[in-house]
Amino acid sequence: MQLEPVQLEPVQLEPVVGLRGASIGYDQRPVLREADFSLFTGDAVAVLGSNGAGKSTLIRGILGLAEVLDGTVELFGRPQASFRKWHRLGYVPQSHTVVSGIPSTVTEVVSSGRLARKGFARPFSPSDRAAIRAAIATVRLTDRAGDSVATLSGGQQRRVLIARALAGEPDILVLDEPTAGVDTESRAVLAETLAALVSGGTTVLLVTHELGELRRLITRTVVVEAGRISYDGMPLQERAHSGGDHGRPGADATVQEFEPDCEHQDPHGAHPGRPGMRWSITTEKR
Amino acid sequence: MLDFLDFDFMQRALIAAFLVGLTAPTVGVYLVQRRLALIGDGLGHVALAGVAIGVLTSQAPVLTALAVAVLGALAIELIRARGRTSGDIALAILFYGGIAGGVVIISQAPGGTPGNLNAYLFGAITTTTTSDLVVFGVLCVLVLAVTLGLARYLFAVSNDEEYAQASGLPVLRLNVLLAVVTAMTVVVSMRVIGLLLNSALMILPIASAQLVARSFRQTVLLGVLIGVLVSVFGVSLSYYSDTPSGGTIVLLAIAVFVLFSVLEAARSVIRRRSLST
Repeated sequence: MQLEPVQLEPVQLEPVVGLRGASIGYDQRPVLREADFSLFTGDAVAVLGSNGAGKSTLIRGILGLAEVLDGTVELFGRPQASFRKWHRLGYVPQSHTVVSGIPSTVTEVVSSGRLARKGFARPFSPSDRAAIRAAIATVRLTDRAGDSVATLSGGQQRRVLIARALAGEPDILVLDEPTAGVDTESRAVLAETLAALVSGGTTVLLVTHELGELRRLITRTVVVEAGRISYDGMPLQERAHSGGDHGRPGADATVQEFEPDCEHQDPHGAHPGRPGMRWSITTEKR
Repeated sequence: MLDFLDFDFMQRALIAAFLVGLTAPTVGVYLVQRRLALIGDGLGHVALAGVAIGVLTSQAPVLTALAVAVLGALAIELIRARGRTSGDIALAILFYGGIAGGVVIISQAPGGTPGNLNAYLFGAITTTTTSDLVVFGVLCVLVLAVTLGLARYLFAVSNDEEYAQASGLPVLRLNVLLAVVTAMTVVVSMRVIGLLLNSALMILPIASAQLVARSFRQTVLLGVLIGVLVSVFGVSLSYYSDTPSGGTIVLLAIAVFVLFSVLEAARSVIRRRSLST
């Protein structure tokens, strides 16, 4: 097989999510201040920071769950206030209220994720049902589809929430602490599921205070400290655990505990610090 | 045996009981899921003021109760949506205001005493009129159109309100709609169950059904079956035992819940034993 000549050309991409000087908070009190942040198609961004730093507030601001007090938030090129196509963002919340008093099956919960994509009160079409089945298959819960969510393990319940977000066939998957409170084995499965989605082209924005197994799928890292974005660039490597008495495994990761991970190649070619600039590889066919 | 069917009032009471048993659990399932089990109770208090207004102004109490309960439901949902801190107290004011207003207003009616409210508070089989049944029938259709027609939406909002909001569903409108159909169900229940006990038929059949059901759909279907059985059987029993229908129905619903709890406990013991051997 003969390889085609490769041409590199810079292209300016529109971010799918763009924050400009955005202050986000609750009850008029900002938690995250003057944030500039852009998310591009194909990105897999991890927002890191210690508890209470404001990293969840960042994604809640994007999703319209926290107030944008100052600056702008744009989604797919539209100001958030006039944005209507919320199904394009698939949200996987941290706290799972998925187990309520009433038994609900995996399919019933995942179906909720399809509603936003449809006209109000329209019945599900065969393609809707197919999307719901596909979402359940993606998180490998097909054999549990008819079971009550309450009978699933914590990790499996988290996968139900991911499937619910996927059922709407979103352009971006936004996850809040996807591995928190999940046992090691389930974490591996979660990381594998997310890695498959990222390599399939899903844009991922996730918030976590420890990357763990998710590290290998991340293309960019944002660190939030005391309500401000203090780092936005190449994935960071945790180095705390090598250093003698300071290496407390499980300690909250802060920016001091990270350094750029130069071995980690960004498959999408993002250039840290130049969020608008990308390189694309085009192959001419003859 | 079924000689009570010869009486028109019993026929009407049984139809009313059937409508309550049918609608109350379809509303209650969402209230239980949202942990708002007592909102029906609160709206019952509010509806009492409406009944009193009807008695005072010689209007049909069912219609005035409907108007006041729906207004109360809108107020509750809007207060809830505006903030959580003062919500509890605002609701308490509304609830106690309703019952206090009811007692005071009815005392002003010609020949009215708070004692006149007894049938409204605890239900009575002899009180359902033909025009009540027409109103109940219409309300029943409206309630079922919402609770079954918009089931997926109400499920989504009740299961995870924040997620529903993030995915762009009309959360406030759905919550208001649920509150309004709750108010309508309170009114459908007011003749045979009574305003102080109506909430029980929204909650208890669902509480029983969830013990054995495996899905939301099963819970609703079984809840409706239990609701219809206890209310129709309860009305019949209250005829023979000469007891208030509301109390009789609710005691039956509690008996079903206890029975289901015992069965479920026995089932899990058997399952554990079979797993350990």
